[in-house]
Amino acid sequence: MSSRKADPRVAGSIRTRLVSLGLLIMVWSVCAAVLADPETLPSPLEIGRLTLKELFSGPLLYNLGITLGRVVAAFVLAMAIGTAFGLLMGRRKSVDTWFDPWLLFFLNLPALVTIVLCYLWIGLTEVAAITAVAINKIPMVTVLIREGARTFDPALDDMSRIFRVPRLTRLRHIIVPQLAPFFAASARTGTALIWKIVLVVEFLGRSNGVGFQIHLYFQLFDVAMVLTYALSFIAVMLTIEFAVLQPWERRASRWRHA
Amino acid sequence: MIGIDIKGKSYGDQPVLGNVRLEIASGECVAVLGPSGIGKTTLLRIAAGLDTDFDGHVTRPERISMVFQEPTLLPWRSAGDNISLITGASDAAVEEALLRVGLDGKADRLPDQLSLGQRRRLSLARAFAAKPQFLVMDEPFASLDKGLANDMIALTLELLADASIATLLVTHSEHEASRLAGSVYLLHGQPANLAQTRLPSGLS
Repeated sequence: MSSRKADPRVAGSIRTRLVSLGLLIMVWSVCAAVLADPETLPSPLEIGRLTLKELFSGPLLYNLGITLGRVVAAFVLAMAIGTAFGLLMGRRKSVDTWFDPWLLFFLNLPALVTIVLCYLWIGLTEVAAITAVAINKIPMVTVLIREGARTFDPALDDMSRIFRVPRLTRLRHIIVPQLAPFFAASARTGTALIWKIVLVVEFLGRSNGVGFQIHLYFQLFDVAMVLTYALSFIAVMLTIEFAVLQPWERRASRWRHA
Repeated sequence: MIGIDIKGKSYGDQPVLGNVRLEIASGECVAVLGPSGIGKTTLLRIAAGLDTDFDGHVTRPERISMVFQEPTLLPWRSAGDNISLITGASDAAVEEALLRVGLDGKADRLPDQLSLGQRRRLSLARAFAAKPQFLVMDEPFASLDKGLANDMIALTLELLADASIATLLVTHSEHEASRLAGSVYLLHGQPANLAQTRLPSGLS
């Protein structure tokens, strides 16, 4: 029977994190009060008021949705391609030897260069935006999944070959669970990286989304609105991190703590 | 009938196995004894079809099972799933397999929630649940204490008695070989060759 009691260590950790976050907001409030210049550093209360206003009577929700859509599209694309390459490189030495220099090249290619080149080659389109973000993320996913594939237990490989385990069962019940911690790690680092690049992509070449709004208010020197859009999207991504990614990672590695 | 006819097997320039011929009939258990590093595991991997890079030929049936040195279970799946997912056995067959090795009522336990002896039993249950025509056992009782090893040997004998399976046992223990196998061979030399051996009286 499973226990539903909250782990006191987890509860303590959440408490500490909330206190830490409260402290950050307090430091911000003090700085804003000392500076006494809302155009340079508005107070957290002012940002809260603006956020509510933009949420209910402005385009905040629409732009959050647009950016989130781009994050999801680039994330899915990067994870799918990166996982396929990572598995191939981790499992086949010859493929790894051939493509490792490519991987190093793309890992060291600055995000800004990829974005500019994609816009120049493909045009200022949605495809170019998502491709640019995915290209930036694929090498990192590939590296993590390759490490995961290298740690596969060869005895389980032998076992599945001897018992002629069907290919799909092997993938689902033998390969994916071994890869899960690496997949979760690349998903978490992936979302953190992707959303930041999406904002740059929007800043440079889209006409909607949080990045575009930040660009707009940057041109108007409106610090309060820049902070409103940036912090709103941080809140969305943190919600995804704590409500989706972390529980999923805990679930995937539950058997380790049995 | 299992036919193993190896003319040679090398790792790079290093020959490991020489001329090795072995035939195992249905219902027969053959043991191969030899010290560590002689090539027992190589022979076993060739026999099981895990190593195909050798000079020679092996005739083996479709359905093969293996009991590994380590239990080699999926730690993220329950004991029952470790049998059903790998062998395709039905729920009833899984229950029956667990019952036969004394693990009834433990189908929902994860492998890490079982003792080493229980994990070995689960590995044995999985091997027999696959209804093999050819069973390969790679030092299956290594690292078990004497009492537990004797229990496992008795259990294996019981399971083998009920099925007509050709069995190849690779071990360094004369005791295990003599209790389980009808014929015992010794792997010796460099590269290694097979010689039939007579076990000391009292063992066979």
